[in-house]
Amino acid sequence: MSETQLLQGCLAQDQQCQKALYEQYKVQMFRLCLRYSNSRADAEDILQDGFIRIFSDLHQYSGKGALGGWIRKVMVNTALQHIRKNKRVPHFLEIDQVAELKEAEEQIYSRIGAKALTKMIQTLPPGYKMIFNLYVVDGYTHQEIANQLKISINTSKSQLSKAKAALRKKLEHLMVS
Amino acid sequence: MKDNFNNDNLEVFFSKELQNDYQMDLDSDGWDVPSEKVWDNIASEISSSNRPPINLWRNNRPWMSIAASLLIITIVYQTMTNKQTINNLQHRLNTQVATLNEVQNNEPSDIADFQNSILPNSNDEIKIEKKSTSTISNSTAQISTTKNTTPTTISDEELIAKMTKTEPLPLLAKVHPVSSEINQQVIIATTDEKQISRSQSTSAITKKLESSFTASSFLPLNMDAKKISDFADGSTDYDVKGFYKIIEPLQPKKNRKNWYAGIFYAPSWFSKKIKGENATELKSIVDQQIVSRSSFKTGINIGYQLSDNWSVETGLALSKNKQISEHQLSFTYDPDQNQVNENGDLEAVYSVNLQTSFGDLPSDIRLAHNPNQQMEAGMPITFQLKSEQQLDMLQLPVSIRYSMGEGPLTIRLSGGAMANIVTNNKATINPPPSNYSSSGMQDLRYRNSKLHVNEMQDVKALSCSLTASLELDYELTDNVHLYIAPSYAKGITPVYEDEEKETELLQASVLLGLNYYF
Repeated sequence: MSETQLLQGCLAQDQQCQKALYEQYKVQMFRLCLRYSNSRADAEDILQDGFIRIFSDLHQYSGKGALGGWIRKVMVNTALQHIRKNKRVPHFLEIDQVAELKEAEEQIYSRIGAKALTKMIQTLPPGYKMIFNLYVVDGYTHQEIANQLKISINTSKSQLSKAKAALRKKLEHLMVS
Repeated sequence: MKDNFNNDNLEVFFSKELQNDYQMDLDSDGWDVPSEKVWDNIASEISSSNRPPINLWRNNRPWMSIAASLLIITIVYQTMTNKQTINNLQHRLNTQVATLNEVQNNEPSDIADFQNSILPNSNDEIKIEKKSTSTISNSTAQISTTKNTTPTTISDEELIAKMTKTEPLPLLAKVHPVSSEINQQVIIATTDEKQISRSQSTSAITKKLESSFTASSFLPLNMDAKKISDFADGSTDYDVKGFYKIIEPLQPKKNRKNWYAGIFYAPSWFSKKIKGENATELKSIVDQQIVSRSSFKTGINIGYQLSDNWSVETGLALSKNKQISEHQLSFTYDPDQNQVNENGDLEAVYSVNLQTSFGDLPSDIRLAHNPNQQMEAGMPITFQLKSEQQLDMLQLPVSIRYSMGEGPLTIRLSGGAMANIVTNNKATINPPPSNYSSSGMQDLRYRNSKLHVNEMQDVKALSCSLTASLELDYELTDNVHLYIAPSYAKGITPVYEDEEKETELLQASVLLGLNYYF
């Protein structure tokens, strides 16, 4: 079944097509949800809400750009809403300038794997986690993050630096162990 | 194998590993697979409360328009026909009551004299009795005699009517009492004439009467018959007398008016049928882009009645069709194309091609930014444009029409062909505001305030359609008719054609017009 047929089927509320679309994207979207959440249960809640929203708003997909990209965007927004709804909005510290961090070169195994990296991100503080995910993995700009989270660009940049520093330490620890 | 990475390539490392999540891990232990209950919950949610109602109108707009129009026409026709029938029945009833009263009031004082004057050779004593409820049918007539007041029935073969006058009297004559006769047409004569010259079978009378009048258009109050003589050719003469009252004269048939002309206006709905290898995909794309459509046509028509039922018609109409689409565009930033514009900004022109159901719409997009803004080559740029496409046509229809029904309300079926001549196919592109923010690049500017594209490419100057319509016509006066007609036109030659695809126009309209019959 082509993507167009799948899309038309979903628009016509054909549950077989909806199931097929879900099966096609469930793994990658679940990984995304895991990165934004603290637990597997939270991630499943986000995934569930996200797909319900996808099926109800599918008519808003313009057809331009990849369907996967649109689904991913909806899922990210759902994850952010989920965090807000559960009052886990992180506190962002405003700073004027972001210091350049000079770190020694580190070595890690090149193939740690998505599972380990995802778990590593899950352990980050909520603010670090959100900005790291949005900027590094999901390709948002600092301006877009600032607009989305109602923070300044500098805050976004500082939180990202701290997130990266925290992850680097975790990688060091992993390397040593 | 080990890699070195610093603060910058940590981002690259995570990005590479995690953005790759479109691919399944071959050695996945199921950590990234959600449990089955997630889909169960989603399925239950979307199948109950969140299922949007199926929009029959939106999905089947032309057919729903036609169905709605047919329903309205049927209801209007039935309502008006029923009203007319009730009015006719009421009028007929009133007339019958009035006639009975008149008959009762004017009954001859001496029935016997009247009888003798009509039937001078009568051997039987037959007294005419007034029976207000007796009826006549195809095969029988009711009579009564003085000896037997109970009506007896004789077959129509035994009844012969005497002609009392060879010259027909006006059908509108009010007579009482009357005799009936028949020649080439029904003749009603007053009893004062008393001229009997010829007789014919009453079955002929009955048939002729019924063919000229409706069964209830005359009221036989009484009828008497008497056998007079047998002739050598086997025929028999009877004298028949009775009371007949014309209560609803046959209306003289109107002269048909052969020529008519009129004007009309029609709100319309249009769509298109796209043919080609990627037709389904392209249709899906352009359908999703469409924000709104509007269409109407107006014009004149002239027709000629070939017979009571058949007519031919032609005319000239102007059809205006407008469509607004929203296009999502994406391209990559190319600093090599930049030139410094009058504001000192770096500016470049990007060529894009908007796909519409009316054809491809090429356009140049000019983007400018401050030279201090750091922009990387290859950076993706996306934004939305709205385009307004106009397709105006002169339409020359030729159709043949068949009318059904009599009276002020008639229904006509029509079918034919139509030539469409494109008179205007301009398109306008409306860019978003310059501080377009959703791209996340606030320093990019769309400099053109408005673009006009003179001609969409590959639009055919001439195309043809097949037409069909159902018309409800109401006779306001002898000369002026009002009509409403849902109609449908299907393109049979493309209105747009290039190497890969072609588009045919589908147009549904509801015509509201006035015709004047000469």
